[in-house]
Amino acid sequence: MVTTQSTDTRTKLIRIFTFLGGIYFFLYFVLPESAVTAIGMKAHHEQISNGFIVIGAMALGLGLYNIVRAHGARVVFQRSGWFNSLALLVGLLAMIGATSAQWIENLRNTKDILSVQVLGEFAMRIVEDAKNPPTDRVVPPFAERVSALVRYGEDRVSLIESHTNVSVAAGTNGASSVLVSEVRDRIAATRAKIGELKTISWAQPGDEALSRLTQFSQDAAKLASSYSIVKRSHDAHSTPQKVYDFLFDGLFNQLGSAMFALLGVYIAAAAYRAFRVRTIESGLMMIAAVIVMLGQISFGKEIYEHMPSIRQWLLEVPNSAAFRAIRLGAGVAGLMLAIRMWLSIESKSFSSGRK
Amino acid sequence: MDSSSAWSLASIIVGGLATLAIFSFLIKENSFYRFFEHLFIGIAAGLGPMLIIRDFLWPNILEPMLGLTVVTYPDGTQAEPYQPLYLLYIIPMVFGCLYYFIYSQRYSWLAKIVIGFTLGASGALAIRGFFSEAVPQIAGSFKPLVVFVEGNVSLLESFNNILFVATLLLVLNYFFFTFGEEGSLQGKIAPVGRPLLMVCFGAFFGSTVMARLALLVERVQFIVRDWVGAVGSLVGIG
Amino acid sequence: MGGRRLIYLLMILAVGLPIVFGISQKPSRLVSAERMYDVVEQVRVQPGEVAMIWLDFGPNTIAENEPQAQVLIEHLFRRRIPVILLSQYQQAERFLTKIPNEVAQRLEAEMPGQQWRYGEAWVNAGFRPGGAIFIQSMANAVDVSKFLGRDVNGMPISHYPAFSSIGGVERVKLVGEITGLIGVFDNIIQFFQKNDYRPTIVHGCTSITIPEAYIFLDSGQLKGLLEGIAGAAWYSEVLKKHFPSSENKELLVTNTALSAAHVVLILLIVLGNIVPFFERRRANHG
Repeated sequence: MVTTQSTDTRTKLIRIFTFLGGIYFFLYFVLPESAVTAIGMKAHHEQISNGFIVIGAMALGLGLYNIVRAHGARVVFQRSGWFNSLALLVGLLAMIGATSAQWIENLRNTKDILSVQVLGEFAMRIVEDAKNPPTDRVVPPFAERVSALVRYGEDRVSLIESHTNVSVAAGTNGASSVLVSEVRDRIAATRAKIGELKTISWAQPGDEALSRLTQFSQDAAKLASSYSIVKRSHDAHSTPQKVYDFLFDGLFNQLGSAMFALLGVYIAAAAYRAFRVRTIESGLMMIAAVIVMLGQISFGKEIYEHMPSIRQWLLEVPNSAAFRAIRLGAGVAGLMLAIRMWLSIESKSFSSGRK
Repeated sequence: MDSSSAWSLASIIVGGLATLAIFSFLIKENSFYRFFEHLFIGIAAGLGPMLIIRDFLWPNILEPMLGLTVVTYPDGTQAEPYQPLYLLYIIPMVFGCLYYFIYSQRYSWLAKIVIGFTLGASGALAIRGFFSEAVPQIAGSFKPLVVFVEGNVSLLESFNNILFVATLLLVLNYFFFTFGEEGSLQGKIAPVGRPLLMVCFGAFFGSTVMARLALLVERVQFIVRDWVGAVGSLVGIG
Repeated sequence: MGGRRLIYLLMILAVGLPIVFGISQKPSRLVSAERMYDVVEQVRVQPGEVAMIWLDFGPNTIAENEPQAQVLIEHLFRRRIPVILLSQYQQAERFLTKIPNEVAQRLEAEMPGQQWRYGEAWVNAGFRPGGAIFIQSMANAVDVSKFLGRDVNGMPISHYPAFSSIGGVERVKLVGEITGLIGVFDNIIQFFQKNDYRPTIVHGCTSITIPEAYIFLDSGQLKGLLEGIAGAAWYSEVLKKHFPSSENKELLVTNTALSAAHVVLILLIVLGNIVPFFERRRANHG
């Protein structure tokens, strides 16, 4: 049995949290920028905003649970319409499966591409550290770092080469031959640079040696960029991607469009049956509707040359003024609702703390 | 036919069947329509949560929190150190999990805390949203009633501005239900707002027609151009 | 019942015949689309500056929003303005990949030797949940590329040279919002701004929201507007005038089919008023 006292405590708790939910954004928008910066809100605003989104995102399982519970029960107990529920669950699982497979494939490929990009970034970091030795972290000796770079470079270049060959041999490469030959040229250029790096003595690196390292970094970045396009182009033809595309383009997109397209014929039937001019006001409405319709179609100007201009005037002047009045009225009502919601005045039954 | 073309063909053919199934509703409600309707809901329901995880929770929250975004160079050094502050995201994650208490009879009030928190945030955002939208709207309504163009009065522009301001005020006045005594000037001129509103609704209807017909055009175009062609190529006509 | 089905059939025929026979007519001139073209044409970007296009539509409004997205992206691509594509609406996810790819392929076919590559011409920042919270947070970010973090493939956006150091929203020179959803459009209008800066915003709306969009055009909160398919068709005409090789035949056929459907619908309204009138008269005389 819930006591009155505990209900009151819960009510207070719900109201406090409702107020706390709004106070952050309210202060952020109301306080002057200098104050927002001084108290550290500005510096952490992105992370705090993300935190708010995370709270909402955690609710993603609610809908899934409800759907699976309602339709799962119908299938298990073979209630009326169970076959449709089965179709729903199959669609649900297929989409989750296809999106997951495509995502995992994507993550794997991204890892490959990033591992190539690291090459150029690492070379640049070695140069930066050589020019301004870091004080906040320990780095290995210069020669050792370059040696690691060379070894890693040789490994990555071989990987790119084999992936590009696989991609071309598979015959599913959507990238143009220009792009493939560009990758091959860049592989050769990067290999040559790696060869040069091997010949330099890194015990006492001079400006020229550092500049070669910088050039290597730029070449490696270009190679990574071309490779990422070839790789992505190849991945666009992978089976998980194709299944995802099929579900989205072949079913989801078509079904969604078709359902809304039904409205296209319904509005015609409604216009024939219900749009009757019985008063001056409905006459005005019809005249405005016909002008707007004729003004936006190809044949409008055949009927009257200035039809598009009249439509434009109608939308810009009387329509805009009337719509603005409606929108301002609705906006003020929305503002009042927002304040009442934030201060828990709106719904006593919600913040009552009862079950 | 390579695998890519086969997938595309399958996509068009199945898409066409799905469209015809939905259009069959125009004749009467039937099980073919119901089946595809449910399939659509299932796919839509599966897509949403996956994209929230894939495009937000994983890259923005979980990856940095687990330190997976920290790049380790071949010599074992790191591009930037791990930021333990990301662990603070656990707080909103746990707080967000309170939503699931909605299924508990005893503790459902806990879900109200997080729902209330979200409503509070939405409320505060709406306050800001109103002002940043409405202020330029109100400012834009102060139009000069007499417009001069190169030293001469522009009759057309002046008329437009007068009509605009008059329409705005008359329609606003029409919606004042909470004050104004019967027989007052405000009450007397209120009906003038109605025909002006009707002009606006007429424009709205005209635009709605285009929106609805556009959807029909897109579907018919798909059936006539893509689907018929795909079926033709499948049976060897095309 | 039978009459209603006859109307359905009539509408499908009105739409289908221009498509079957490939009939195309010059679209109606829409001033708002011309203004939008001029706004896009006036955008000048320095290295690091970008345009940001939000594709916030799903299958339910694809008919109108997809052609709008195509013409706007085509214009930006032709002008070599780097574009960030993203969405507040999860159902748009696929279009963020499909539409720029198609436009790039079309342009590459039209101009052999030129390329529009992912990471140079555009990046796909994917679906971003959070609505108003996300947008106000981005508007206040020190660096938009760092704020967005990773693209849809999981790559850091700052790794692409054209998008490596955008800086604050002041460097987003054009914001395009293609949607039929009032809520997501409001998020952009209300929150994609700073206290001292409001970016240039253009909008591709579905026809149903045209009357509402005009109030933002009047107040200057919107600088350009594409009104449904008709807006996209006229924008495409203007684009063709400046870039004669631009292909828009398909869009014109679509627009013509739409026009034919409008004519039939207007006739239905007229019939709907005349027939009952004569029926009443006949009944009175009878």
